[in-house]
Amino acid sequence: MLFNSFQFGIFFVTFLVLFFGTPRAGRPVLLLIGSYIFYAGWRPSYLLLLLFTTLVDYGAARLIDSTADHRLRRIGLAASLVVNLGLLGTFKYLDFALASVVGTAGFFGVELPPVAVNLVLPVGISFYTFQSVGYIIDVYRRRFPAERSLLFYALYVAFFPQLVAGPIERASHMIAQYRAQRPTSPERVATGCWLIGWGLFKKICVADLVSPFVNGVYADPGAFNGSFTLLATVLFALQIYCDFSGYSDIAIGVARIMGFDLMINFRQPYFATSLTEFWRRWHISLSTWFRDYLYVPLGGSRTTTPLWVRNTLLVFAVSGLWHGANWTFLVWGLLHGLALVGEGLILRMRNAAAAGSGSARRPGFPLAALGSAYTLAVVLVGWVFFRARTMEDAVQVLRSWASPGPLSYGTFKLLDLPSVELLVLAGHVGVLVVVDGLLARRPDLLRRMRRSWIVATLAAVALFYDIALFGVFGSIDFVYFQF
Amino acid sequence: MRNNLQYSSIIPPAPSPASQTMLDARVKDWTSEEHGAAVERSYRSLLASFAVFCMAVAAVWLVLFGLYKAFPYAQNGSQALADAKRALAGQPNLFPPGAGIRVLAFGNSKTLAGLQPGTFDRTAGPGVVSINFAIPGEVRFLDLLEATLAAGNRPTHLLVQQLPIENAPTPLDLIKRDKAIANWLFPFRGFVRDLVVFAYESRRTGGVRALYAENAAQVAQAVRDRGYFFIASQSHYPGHRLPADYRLPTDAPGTVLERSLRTEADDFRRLVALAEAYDFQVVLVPAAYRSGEFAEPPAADDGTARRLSAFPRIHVVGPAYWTYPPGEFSDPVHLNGPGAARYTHQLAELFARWRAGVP
Repeated sequence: MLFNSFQFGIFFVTFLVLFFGTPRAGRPVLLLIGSYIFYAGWRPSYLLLLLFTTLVDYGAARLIDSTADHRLRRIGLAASLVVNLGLLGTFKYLDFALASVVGTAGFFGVELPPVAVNLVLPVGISFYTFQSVGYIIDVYRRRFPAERSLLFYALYVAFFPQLVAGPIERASHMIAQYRAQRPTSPERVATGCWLIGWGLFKKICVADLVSPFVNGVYADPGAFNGSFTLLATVLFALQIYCDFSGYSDIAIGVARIMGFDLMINFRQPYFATSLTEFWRRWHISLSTWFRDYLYVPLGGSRTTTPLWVRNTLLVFAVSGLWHGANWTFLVWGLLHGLALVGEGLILRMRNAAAAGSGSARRPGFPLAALGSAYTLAVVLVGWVFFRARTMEDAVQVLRSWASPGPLSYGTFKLLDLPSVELLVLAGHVGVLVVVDGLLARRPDLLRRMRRSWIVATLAAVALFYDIALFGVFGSIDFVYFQF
Repeated sequence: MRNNLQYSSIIPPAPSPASQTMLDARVKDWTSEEHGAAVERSYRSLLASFAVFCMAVAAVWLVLFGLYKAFPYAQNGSQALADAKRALAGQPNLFPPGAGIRVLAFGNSKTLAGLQPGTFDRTAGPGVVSINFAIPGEVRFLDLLEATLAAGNRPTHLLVQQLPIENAPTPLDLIKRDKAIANWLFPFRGFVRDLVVFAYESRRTGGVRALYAENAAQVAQAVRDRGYFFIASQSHYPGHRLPADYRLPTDAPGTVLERSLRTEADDFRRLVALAEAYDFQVVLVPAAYRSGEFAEPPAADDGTARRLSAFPRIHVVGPAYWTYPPGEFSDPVHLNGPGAARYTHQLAELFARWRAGVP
């Protein structure tokens, strides 16, 4: 069930009626049933997988928490990690591993037949696995007590607004909310509706509008000149941001209406003036997960420079592979890791110089503009690897930028972006930049506008008709579902 | 211990007894009478805002629907023609008395701008009367066909470039057809887009009134031409002719385009049943592509013919497609007037030969 479908609209409205019609004590059960129905909408058999990991992690956490015996605690942790990461590895990386073995053997002159298991990736497995692993590690470190109620724990894993594409939540944040069953409020309902509307706008008025163009060019990048491949990459940058942050906005809005708070996942990342800032604004729930469960345990940045470089590259390599089983994702991660290392080294030198001279200045406008341009350039090159099907395609796209050519109208038309759609897209991007700019720099202005009911109603009606008239209706999957 | 110190600043601690007490206090607050009254007041305010929003949405809907109905020729010409064709399908006596060979052609905008019934009838021989029922952006034609049959029209032949491949929708499928639902809820969805094009085009044609009259005349002419329509709105080259060296990156000159065929599809079975019930023949005819868009196909589509041999009322004639020089196209997809004339001529000759049993 996709958020951008009438099917979900019917499901959610029906669910809300039942939810608010049920006494508060019964709501968690209803929420869990609703979440399982939501998940079963894709492939009912994979619900068993979700139930299995839920039971294993629940049992393992209880075992870890209930004993002081280090050996038993370690066994519990290991069992949970093996099950979680084993399932993730099998479904997501088995074919990649097999292909890599065959490729490596071929490199050494040993010809092996190509092997592929072709398992269908359970939707959301990367997200709920990381959420479960985070929980188990927190319990093991005695940061969070094991949840006694199987119901609340199962809800923590399966809560439908964030089950399939995050935000990757923490037990300490969510389980207390399920337990407290905070009543919703008119303010929550109103802001939840705004978030859903804004998320839908980003998804179906921007991301889905450019999707055929990006898909068309990246399906065969060799057929297009550099102008088209560059434009497709810029549009992909727009697509992936609007697609994923749109999903997060809808998820947060849906949860908010029911009285739950999810963490913010995006903070206008393209307004960042450095790559470090970009990663504080992009997919925040995953970045903080890696920080807390991989980067810091490795020693983080409070260590020697070589070890810090190793930690950064390792975290970004794993982050790349988390996104998909392909060398292109690994290169994407390493590219970001290397750029961050470079940035970090410059920052360290600057800090040392500032400490020596006793003055620390904030960067002025020219430096900030330069930082923005550099950040966007690195991010854009990274997106080429992220989007390309193969390394060869990625290199071809980058090479083609050296030989731009004319942008023929016929190609736009065949790639479903003819003249009117281009105008519509330009208008939508304008709205996006203005609203995101206000959110990033002047959120108080937006709040003030919302307080005027005339402005709020006009904006709501305009948003409604923009989605209804210019949105792409066709239940196009969210990009991050494949991860 | 070192680790614990590091993490304590990052991971929120487990709820302490103090924070639990605060939570309990908040829960108590949520259930207090004052809180209840305040919430009720703000719910009333929310409901009022929602009612205003709904009324505003309804008002805009009425305005847009009114405009859409009042100014049918402000929309895309082929769209206005599609509406006219849907209305036409429900009328009896589409064919004049004495028409021995009654041909209905179905398809999308390629057929719409490619098949000229007048030319077809003159070339295919005496007694042939054809109507172009193609609708832009729509390859599903069974509902339209059933409407013409229900109105008492009796075609002897159907010409199609593509056989139906869809399954009948289940109730769940109907909910999943988001685009169809959106179009049903907002029948004027394309109208606002069309207004933009209309406004732009009106500069070229001497103003809004002149363009409106021109569109109306074009649609009327298309109805008189029995459904053929030249799609001028997408043509951007002088004389409605693409340059001779016109190529697109998506062209695949090394690939022969295969036809999609699903004889197990519900819609295919429905077409076969209709052909049996109403005694007509379905003829799968070649489409038209630009030279270089795809490789030249074999002279006859024997593979498709073999797969359809079990269905005596479905026939495959000629190749899967013919190719024409770019100069016979007005845009990358649609034939211009001379191109359509040549394609229709070729098609009519093929049809006549097939009827005469000439291979």
